[in-house]
Amino acid sequence: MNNILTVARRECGAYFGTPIAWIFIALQIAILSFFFFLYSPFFIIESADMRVWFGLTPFTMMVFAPAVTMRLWSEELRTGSTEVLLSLPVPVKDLVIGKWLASVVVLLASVVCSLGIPATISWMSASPVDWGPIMGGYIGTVLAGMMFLALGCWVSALSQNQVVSLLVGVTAGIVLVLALSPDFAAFLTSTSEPLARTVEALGVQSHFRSIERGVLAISDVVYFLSGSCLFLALTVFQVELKKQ
Amino acid sequence: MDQSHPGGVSVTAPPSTLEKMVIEADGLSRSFGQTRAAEKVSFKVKRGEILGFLGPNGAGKSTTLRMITGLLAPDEGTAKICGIDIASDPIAAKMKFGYLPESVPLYDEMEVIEYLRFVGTARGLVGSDLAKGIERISHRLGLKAMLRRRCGTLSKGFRQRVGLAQALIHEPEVVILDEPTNGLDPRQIIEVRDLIRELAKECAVIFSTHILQEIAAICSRIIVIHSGRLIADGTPEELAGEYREGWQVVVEGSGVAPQRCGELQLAEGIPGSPGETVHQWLGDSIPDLQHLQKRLQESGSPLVQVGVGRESLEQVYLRLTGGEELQR
Amino acid sequence: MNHRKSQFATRWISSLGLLVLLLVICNMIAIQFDQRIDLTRIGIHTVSPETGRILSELGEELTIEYWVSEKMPSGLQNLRRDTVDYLEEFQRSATGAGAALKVQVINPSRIIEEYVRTKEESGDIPAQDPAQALMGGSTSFADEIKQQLAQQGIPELQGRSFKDDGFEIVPFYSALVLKYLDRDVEAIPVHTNLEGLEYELVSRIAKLASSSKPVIAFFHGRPEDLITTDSSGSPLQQPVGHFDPFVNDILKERFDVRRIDLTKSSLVPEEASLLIIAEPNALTDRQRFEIERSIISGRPAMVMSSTTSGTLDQRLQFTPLAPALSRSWRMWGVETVENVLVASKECGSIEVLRAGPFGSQFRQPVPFNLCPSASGNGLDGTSPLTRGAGSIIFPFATPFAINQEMAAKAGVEISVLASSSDQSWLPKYSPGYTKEMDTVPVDPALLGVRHLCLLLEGSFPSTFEEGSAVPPWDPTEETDAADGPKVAPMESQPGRVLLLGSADIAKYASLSMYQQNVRFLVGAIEALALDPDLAKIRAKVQVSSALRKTERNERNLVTYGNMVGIPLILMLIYLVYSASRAASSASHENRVNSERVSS
Repeated sequence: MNNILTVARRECGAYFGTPIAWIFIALQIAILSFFFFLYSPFFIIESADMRVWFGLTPFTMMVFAPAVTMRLWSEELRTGSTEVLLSLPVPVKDLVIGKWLASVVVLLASVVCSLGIPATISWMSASPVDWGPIMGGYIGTVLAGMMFLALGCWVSALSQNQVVSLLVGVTAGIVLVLALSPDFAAFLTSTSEPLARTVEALGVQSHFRSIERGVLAISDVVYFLSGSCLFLALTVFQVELKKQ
Repeated sequence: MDQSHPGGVSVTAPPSTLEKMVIEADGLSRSFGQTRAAEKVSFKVKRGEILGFLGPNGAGKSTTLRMITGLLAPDEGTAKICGIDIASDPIAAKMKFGYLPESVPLYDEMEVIEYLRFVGTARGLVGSDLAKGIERISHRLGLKAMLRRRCGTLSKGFRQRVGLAQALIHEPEVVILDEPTNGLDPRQIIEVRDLIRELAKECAVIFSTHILQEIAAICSRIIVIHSGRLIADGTPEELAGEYREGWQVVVEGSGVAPQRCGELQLAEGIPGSPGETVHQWLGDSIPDLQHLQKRLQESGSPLVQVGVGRESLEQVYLRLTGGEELQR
Repeated sequence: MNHRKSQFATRWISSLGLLVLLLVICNMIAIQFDQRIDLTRIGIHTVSPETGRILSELGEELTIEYWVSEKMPSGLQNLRRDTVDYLEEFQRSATGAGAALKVQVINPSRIIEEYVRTKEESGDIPAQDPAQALMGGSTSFADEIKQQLAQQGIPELQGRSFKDDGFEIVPFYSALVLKYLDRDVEAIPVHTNLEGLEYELVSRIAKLASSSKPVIAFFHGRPEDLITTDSSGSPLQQPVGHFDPFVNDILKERFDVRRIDLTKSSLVPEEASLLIIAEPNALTDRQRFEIERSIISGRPAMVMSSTTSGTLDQRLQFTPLAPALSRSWRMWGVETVENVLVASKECGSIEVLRAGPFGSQFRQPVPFNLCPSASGNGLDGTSPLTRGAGSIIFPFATPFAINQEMAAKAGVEISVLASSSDQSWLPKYSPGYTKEMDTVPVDPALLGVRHLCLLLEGSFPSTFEEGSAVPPWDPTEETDAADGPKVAPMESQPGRVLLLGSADIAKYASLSMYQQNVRFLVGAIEALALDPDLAKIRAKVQVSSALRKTERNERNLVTYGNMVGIPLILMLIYLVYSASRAASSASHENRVNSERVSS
């Protein structure tokens, strides 16, 4: 545990000591706010909730998570600092989890920075705001984010080149969000019903959707946690592979 | 030890059960695809030794060191650090040594003190131990003024010192340095050498280099690696015992081209006095001076003199790693 | 592959495989024994316990068919899944309540294809009637089956989808059909929203399960006033009552409406669950007595009353009405402000004939001050009676004033459900449209919020003293107070009275112009008349609570505050942080250097 925290603290330092995390968070807030207030006009819908915001989350996450994680391993592999890192008496799994945890901290920071939206809603709402679905949306954001970040970690460990990591990560995200979507599943239904159901169950959207509307299902939580687990295990594998 | 290898100089260190072996490498082999980077490398290091790992670029020095430090899994063989097998208990083994990789990779965005804190904490130092460790090592390496600098803004020399500080912060029993003087200016090289000498009072030091002078200057023991094989192991004196006496042919300029050396029964040239190159005569009999002079004239390297001389360490090294191998 | 590699590969492939297996099993278990936590305050996605109670009344298996297309228009992509999800939840709770419920999801295009195929195989030829084709009738087997479906309450709908650079019209189905025994099928033909679905389903199930509809008594205080001409002014063959369309077309669908005259032979039926009083005008004391009796017995009442009735369809013309019931509710703490109208610039619009080019005439909607609207903050979004109504328009309204002292004395609780905006004023009654009605008064003291809809709750006291003579049916008849019947003591049951300050709100002319009022009226009537359980379910409409009225600069503040402000603050924090780090590192260096020099 101490090892994980040590690694996470260092990575947080790298995120927040340089403009990286700040820029990502600022950009994410700006883009989401743009879509929330201007593109899908909040003041025309006039509904005091955040469904639009959370509806957009998987799509922004799909791009921003790999952008945040792309440096985690790629950068170290490029400069060769893995040599020192791996010579430290720290198990590889602790390194992997620590780095991932740091990216989760960035995610949490971006969640905190988006609290301006609920504040806006409570200021402008005519009647008391229903906070349940908003809390649920944030829980969903963090859960889905954890999985996307774990995916990003794995992809980052695949290549020394950050840009390659980013592109592969975004592609993987698109597969998870768009290809394995309920719409695609509906398209497949005529071909093979079980295949369609599998595709739907594997995708992010079908699991994010109920959280977005305010229902927290154990199965969705388990999905996101097992996704994170799988990708972190793959990252450990990928790093161990460097020793081979 | 490497008794089986006919080409190598086999020097068996006197068996000593009293002295603690801090590194025991046993038959380490490793290949990358078709290339054999290391083949059955075995050696032991005891406390207080400074072991020079000598060999040309690409000989397998780094590969061997990385196998010892657990950064690379060996195809065969084992490495033990202070009696702990790096493969079966990597965490305990890694506590025992400090390692400075060849390229001295630091995290550019971190301040030196943050970096040292990170490495120290990861190596199990906490609280006042950590603060003391940083204080001690930064004092020793003259890093105090640099502690709050970002690593990315340091000069090459200071980077190297931070790299060393990182390897030494937890007072390890073994220090493994891969090409520690690479890219440093002469003054810095001397500083590093002094530091290594000083370190040897407390722990074992292994360092690799492709520069011979370093070995001669500070090592208590030398291992020569070539094409992945260990071809010599001994103190500089022990190796010197293997120096051959024989005819030396001194020519003008940069010497005879390597591909023609065999034909002339000459070893590859090594630099002698300024503007001259010394070749070892490989023939069994006394060289035919007139014939030799003619041939050398033809090859554009006029003969300066032929005499009897003793091989220098360089010549031994070159003979061990160079053309003579092919001759045999 | 050498020994090391194969060993590594086997170890990792097997452990990763094991992990994947474990995770798949975990997920399958989680799906099998899924627990859902509904985070919405009112539990919109959860079936309420009241539903369970109503479902438990089902004796036989009920089938819910969800007819939904595979391809849905852009905005409704989630609907299919959300609904199927919800129906599953509904089914679970039905099973929990001991009711048999079957949910079927049907793809209409399959049914249509099958129908067309069997028809074609049997060699039938579709009716080729050109006239029918022109009228949009069936010209093919597909149209034939589509028409049949539409008759069963499964119409083909049209939606829009984004395509390339524009919109594409997408025909789709989304209908719910409920089948129970051999009773008439109940359908929700257009299901596009999960909101209120529970009520829609349960109310239909309740209807299917019970053989009779709830009874409503409807009393019109001015039956002599009839519609005699149509909108263009030509006389109708048969005059129509102003409330006929509301009662016959809207209320009769869900309720058994009994029209009463409040005469000796036409009293409020015992089984009536609601008494609606429309446009009370000249009531006799006996009629008022009967109304009070009905209210005191605990039967809810809804009163649409004002001191002015107007015409919306033709030339403006106002008729004064007597505030017949005000004597009763004065005692309950409500005062009627007589002989004034409520005017507001925030109002509904009426269509006005305008002269167009070349002597033509066209209708143009213009805001009409005398139809004040209650919306936003003027509307209580939490009450089951007004929830879901976006805005309500009160044509020719009379404002109510609340006398809290009287209300407290009577034990009546009064809540304001709807009021006009704070820019409303009260022009004097006049038979025609006056300048005072048209212009906003200069004096700000004349402007203010006016209450247009009140809900009275409590045990209402009677204005007829116990033991006094019951008023006779014929007021002209002289009765001897000693012989006539006396007012019998009656225990007052808790009840509810909904007061609407507009006599015209449910009239045809008004409803055809302000269709949003239909939703409000039906909702309020259902909430008052229904089984309390059903009313509770009905109240469970998601309050995606609306925003309050915002100023332009407030909107800009939050938009750019979030979009630009927060990112800028972040950048600023970083700059300050990195500058302070740089400064402290420089000072550290200086200090160490100077120490070294001094030592």
